[in-house]
Amino acid sequence: MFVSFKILVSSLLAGLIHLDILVFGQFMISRPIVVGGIFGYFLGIPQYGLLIGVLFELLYIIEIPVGIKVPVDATSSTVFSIVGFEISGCLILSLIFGFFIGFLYKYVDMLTRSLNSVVLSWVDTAKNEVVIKRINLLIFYGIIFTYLRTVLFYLISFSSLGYLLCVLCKFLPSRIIFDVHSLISILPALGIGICINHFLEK
Amino acid sequence: MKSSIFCVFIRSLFLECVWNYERMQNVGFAFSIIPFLKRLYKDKEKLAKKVKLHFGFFNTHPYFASIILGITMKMEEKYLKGEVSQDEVIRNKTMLAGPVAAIGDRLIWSSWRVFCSVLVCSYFLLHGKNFYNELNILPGLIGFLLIYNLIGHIPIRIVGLYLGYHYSYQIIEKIAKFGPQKVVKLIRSLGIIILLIVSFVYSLSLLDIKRDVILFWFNIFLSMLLSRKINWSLVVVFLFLVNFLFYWLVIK
Repeated sequence: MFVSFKILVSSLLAGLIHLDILVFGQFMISRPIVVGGIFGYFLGIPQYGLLIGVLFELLYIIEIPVGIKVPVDATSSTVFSIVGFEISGCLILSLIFGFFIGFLYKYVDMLTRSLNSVVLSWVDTAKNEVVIKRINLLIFYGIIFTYLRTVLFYLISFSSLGYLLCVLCKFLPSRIIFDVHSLISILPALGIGICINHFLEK
Repeated sequence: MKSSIFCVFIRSLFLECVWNYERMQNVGFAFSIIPFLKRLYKDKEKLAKKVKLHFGFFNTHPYFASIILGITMKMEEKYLKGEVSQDEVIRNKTMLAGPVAAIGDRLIWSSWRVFCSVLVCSYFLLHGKNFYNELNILPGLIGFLLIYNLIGHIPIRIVGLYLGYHYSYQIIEKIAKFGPQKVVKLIRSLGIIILLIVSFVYSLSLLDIKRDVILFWFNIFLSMLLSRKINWSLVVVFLFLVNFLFYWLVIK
């Protein structure tokens, strides 16, 4: 019961944070490092929130939305990893699952961007007296639709992939789950190397 | 006047709200400019026609879009005075979007945002491999958000809107003269220096297991090398698997 409550509230909170990516402002509240801190505090595991946040911040550091490119979603990776770790207790597997969730969310995002094209005709065909009203409603639709789609995405992924994560954790040898902290301390090197190369590029 | 510019600024925060593949940021742009057009056109028919004209294709960097919004506002005023044609207003808006996006992508997305991420990660990693156990994390996170938004993000949006309105499209010339490329170079050089210092300090904290220090630098070197040739995500997956197998064998 308590786990279900955590999953529900996490999904609702993640939906709000996701609005920062595209819908409102881009203040970078949705960056993994900030999301890691917020969810870490919320779930009572601030250290692991920070650890996962720093790791994903570094790994996704050069994933940028240049032009019309839809980037892999670092926010969903971080959120899933932290909540996955909280419900399964397995850090390594949560990180792996989280990493791939980012790619999954990217395709959900692309799909909804395509759907957004469909609603444009609502303004195109509008009579002059309702044009402004319909544009305002479109913005409202954008906020609500993005929020609901994100919450639904998390609810489905937590309840399906989260369950799979818990099952897999039971089969893994406990040493793999708990004795790989050396591996975790090496992982920032990947992001650092990729970032140095990015800065060196012309 | 000031209040309508402020309204445009607040609304421009929703620029990408209904981003779509057909006309991209068109909904956000039309939504943003409505308060200004309302000031210019009291007749609702004319206003609606004007808003519809701004509902066409538009795509640029979301922060730097404020410059184009400012320029378009100025052009709309000039159109009312009969100094420019309607076509020129729309053509300028669409033509400026590309160059402005190029500046924004390079200056903000691939330099300033990455640099701020490097800063905040460095702040934590400087505490060594157990950084996550020892720290009060709030100062780092709040510092990141304040530096990113108060130095880069918000000033660009506000100043861009005002400068775009006051200088019209001459602002692009002024930006080019200012030399964003120099700023990009400076940010990137600083970023590399910070990353090298952090890597060195961090690797000192791994000294209790010497194998880890070697592995840490080996991973930095390899990820640098590989990310020149292949996509970053493949580099991460490949190196993660290599490291995981290595540790698994060591643990065994």
